Amino acid sequence: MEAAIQDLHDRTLANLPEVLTRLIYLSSTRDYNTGEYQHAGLADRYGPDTAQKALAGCHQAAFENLLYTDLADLVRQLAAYIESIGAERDQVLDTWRGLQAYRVLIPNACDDLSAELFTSNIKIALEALRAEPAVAPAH
Amino acid sequence: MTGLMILIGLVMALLLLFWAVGRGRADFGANRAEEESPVRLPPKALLGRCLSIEDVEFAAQLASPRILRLLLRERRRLALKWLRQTRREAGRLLRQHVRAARHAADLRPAAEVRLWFHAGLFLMVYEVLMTAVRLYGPFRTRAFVRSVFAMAGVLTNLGDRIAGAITAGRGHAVREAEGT
Repeated sequence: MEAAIQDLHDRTLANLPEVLTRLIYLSSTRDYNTGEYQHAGLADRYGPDTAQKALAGCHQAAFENLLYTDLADLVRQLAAYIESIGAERDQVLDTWRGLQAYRVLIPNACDDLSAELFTSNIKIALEALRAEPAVAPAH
Repeated sequence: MTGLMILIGLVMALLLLFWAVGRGRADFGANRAEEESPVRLPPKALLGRCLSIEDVEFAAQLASPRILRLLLRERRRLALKWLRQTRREAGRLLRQHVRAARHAADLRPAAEVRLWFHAGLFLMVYEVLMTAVRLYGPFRTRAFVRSVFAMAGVLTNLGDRIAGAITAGRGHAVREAEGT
């Protein structure tokens, strides 16, 4: 499985600059109905089971990394992400708040308390971005 | 004087312990499956995130009292939840141990006394922390946050010690049963 994780990191994750974007990418490879991860290239190279485990492991790692990121950095990453997708910032903030789409970023094996802390942090970060439009993605 | 204080402390610990075991027994019938599932003490690092001073400073500099209030309210709620969950899991661990001990042929009294002493201490620290976080919130002062975090460390260590003592006891019982 280590080889599959390294492969995933080298070919895909390394090109994503922030933990938040990696988390969004990894959760997007998960089927919302079955909870199973789909990645054709990785499955072809390492088999479906190994690809599944590699994606789940990377998803969990990215989630924990972001969970322990301080609020200022989370707000910066969120601002950078919104800027990168090129959509209207207020519209994205409204949608994220209304639909709570960020809940799909939580991995399957996550405990309740971590999930609650994560959603709480995202809610506060969204409020911070709304209150402070000048929070710029500084690198 | 010191002897009297130790005695009062021990009596309080025992009372708390009886209360906790009794409460656990009352809940037990309804949640058999949950009781048998593996015990998972929440990581101390999660409480560290809840008590992050950097986050409070960041929210304060946004100059939005609403966001600061939201952050403080959320973090207090989550800190209390961390404490309750730690207490619940430690209680479950003890109840699992009590059930296992009923059938153990080789109970070691010294180890049992040590275990229940740690459990009593755990409950005392838990009650102190719950009261402090409820009354003052987790962020009143830096010094207070440090002391809360230090006490949470004591709580986590006691939880680990209880788990360690129970695991060691089980290992000993298995070795005895296997005759090694």
